[in-house]
Amino acid sequence: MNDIDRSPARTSAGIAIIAGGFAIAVVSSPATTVVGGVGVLFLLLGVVRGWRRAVTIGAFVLFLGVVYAGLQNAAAEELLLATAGTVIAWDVGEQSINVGQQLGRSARTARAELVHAASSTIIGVVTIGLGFVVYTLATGGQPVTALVILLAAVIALVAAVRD
Amino acid sequence: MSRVRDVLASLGAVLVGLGFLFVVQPGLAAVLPIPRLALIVIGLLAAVEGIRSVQRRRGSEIVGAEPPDPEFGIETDAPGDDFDARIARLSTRRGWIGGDFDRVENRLRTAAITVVAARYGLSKLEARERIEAGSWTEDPVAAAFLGGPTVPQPPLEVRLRMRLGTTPRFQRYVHRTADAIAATWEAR
Amino acid sequence: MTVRQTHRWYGVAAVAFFAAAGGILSSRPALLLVGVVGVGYAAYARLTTAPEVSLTLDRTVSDQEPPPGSEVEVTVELTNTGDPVFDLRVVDGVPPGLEVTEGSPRLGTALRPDKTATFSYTVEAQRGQHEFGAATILARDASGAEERELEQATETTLTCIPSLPPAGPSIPLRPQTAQYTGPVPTTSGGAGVEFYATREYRPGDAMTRVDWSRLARTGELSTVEFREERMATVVLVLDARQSAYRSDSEGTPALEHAIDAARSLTTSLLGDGHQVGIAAFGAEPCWLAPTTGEDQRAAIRRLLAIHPGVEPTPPQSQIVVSRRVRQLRRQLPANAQVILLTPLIDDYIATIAGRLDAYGHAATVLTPDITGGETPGQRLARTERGLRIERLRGNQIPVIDWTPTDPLEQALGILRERQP
Repeated sequence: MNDIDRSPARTSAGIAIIAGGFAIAVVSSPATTVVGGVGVLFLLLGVVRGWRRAVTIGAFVLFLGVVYAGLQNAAAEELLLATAGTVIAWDVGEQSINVGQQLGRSARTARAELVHAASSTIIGVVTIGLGFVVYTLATGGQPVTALVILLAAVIALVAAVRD
Repeated sequence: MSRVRDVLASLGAVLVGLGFLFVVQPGLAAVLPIPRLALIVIGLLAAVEGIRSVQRRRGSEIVGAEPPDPEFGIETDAPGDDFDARIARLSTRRGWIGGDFDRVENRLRTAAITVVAARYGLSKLEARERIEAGSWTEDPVAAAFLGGPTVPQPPLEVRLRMRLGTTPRFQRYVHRTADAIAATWEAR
Repeated sequence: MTVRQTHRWYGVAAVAFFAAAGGILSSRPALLLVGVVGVGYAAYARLTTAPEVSLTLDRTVSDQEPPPGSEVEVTVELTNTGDPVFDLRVVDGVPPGLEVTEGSPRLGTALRPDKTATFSYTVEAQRGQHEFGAATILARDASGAEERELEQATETTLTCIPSLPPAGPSIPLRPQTAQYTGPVPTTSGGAGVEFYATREYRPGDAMTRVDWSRLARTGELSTVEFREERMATVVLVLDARQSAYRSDSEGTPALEHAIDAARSLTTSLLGDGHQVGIAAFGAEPCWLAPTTGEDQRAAIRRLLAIHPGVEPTPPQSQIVVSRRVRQLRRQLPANAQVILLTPLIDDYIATIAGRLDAYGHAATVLTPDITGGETPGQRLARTERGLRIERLRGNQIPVIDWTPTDPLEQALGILRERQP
């Protein structure tokens, strides 16, 4: 009968939209901006109404925009930044929904949300950093190779740790 | 299972070393050409991991605990809400289990008899007869519900409206009968 | 303690791996780069685990024995005595009978070791003894992939014992039987009735009892008391079964209204020198033998507030009423009359009134009207309650039909008018 207000938490919702916007802004292809824009709109719908599916669709559309830019030979740093932005937008967006559902609007949740967003951002920075360093340093004809080897390493390690 | 894990972990460690080696000594990559096949294998492994992720996602929704809601005091119904709920439940059941419907009808009939007797100063028997004849109320639906075989069906337009409406038939009959009984009581 | 996977990263991981695979197999560096970031996050999700949680919980209330209706502030302090927790969610165990009026009993925070998080909220005090339950704690890892659920308890009790009103409307009592050797005195007065005393008029007193000559002489309103009204033995019997917890349109359970009435009646009856006792058909057997005096007044006040037979929350299991009625019969003094306080939601309680009356304990029924008229079911319930009242009156059992939004004396006045 009675229920508390379970709308998505505001702080995370805001950060998610900003991350999505950042992902679009960082890529200089107009097509990506348009496609990404649609993604951000879905994202907005999701964090305002609490629809997880909209957040997922929004992030995926954003991702497609970034991939498209990549296939049009965008710069490595743009791609890395935009991808991280997309993942953060999805992660923090979903977080705003699950915090809203479990704790409600009246609760003070800013601290938990900010710590989570910061953590995601740090991972993004680390991944981008490593990826960028390997990609640019590993010239000598086979820049992809080193990256691939490292990728294989990650897959193997991750598969080993948890199943 | 843990044997596989160990293999994977060692493989991972070796690959990390190799990868960083290639980064640090770019020339090495050209000298030791990684066969195209190895790359394809790694690519396929990645694809397999992707499929496994999808499998897991397919089989599970995003879940989280649902903590209790302690903000509210006790919530209880008003008298009569359980009756409404039971009628709504009975109205949607496909198979008719006689007992439940009879109980509802009996309750309404008992109340009707007492109310009609009080309203018109009749004896219980006289009230029962009036209900049987359907002359206790102006509502044709209520009269038909509690009435005997001599009571006519409600007029066509009423029946049509009930059929086209969204409320199930049984619920409509019961509601109108309850309302007719209450109205008779209020009017005494 | 439960540990569960939230599965929230599965989609991202899938997409990341496919992008990486596509990049490798088609030698597109762009896709590979995109995949790398994704796989990095997938690793992050898989490698982090929900922490072992070790906390201490401290709860303080601004007033442990508040007056009813007042606002009480509850402050909760959570200290981390173990590993850092990146995502800590708390839902405090507010007692089921209390409502949170300000703030939220929930918190989302992160705690380093030896750090304390504090939050507070306000509840409105209600009659009863309210025990706080365990707080629900949810701890997630930094990525949110895994969640650990546990409970943390600390004992806190809020006790609210409303006081009895200083004065209350008097209720017309039924004639006492078996106490007098002569013919049973009637309540209508007349020759043979012994004058006893004059006291100050109280609202609700019968007009036939007003000392008109004194009024004419001195302008003072006073009431005459007759001897047979003295030293009645009255037991207030509360209906505290599950059905008595149905509520009116404001959400107040019938039992609360009944207890309000019981408080007023206790004051006026004790004030008039009668013996008053309490019984209840509720979750636990409840009986306080009738007597007079200040100690009894205090005991009744306490019982009506915190006895487990009349708790603010409905009983969990069915009550075997017939057994309680037999118990009550054994406990009632021979000359005791009963006032049954019940919403009259079902027929059974009405038959109990009749039975007690037949056993020689003159019964009066005081029934708060909590019926509504919004739905057909509610209208039917209202009608059926009206029928029960009529039936009881037809059996010579006086019924006080009280609408709780009106003052009690009004309903008592109507009863007085009914009685010849």
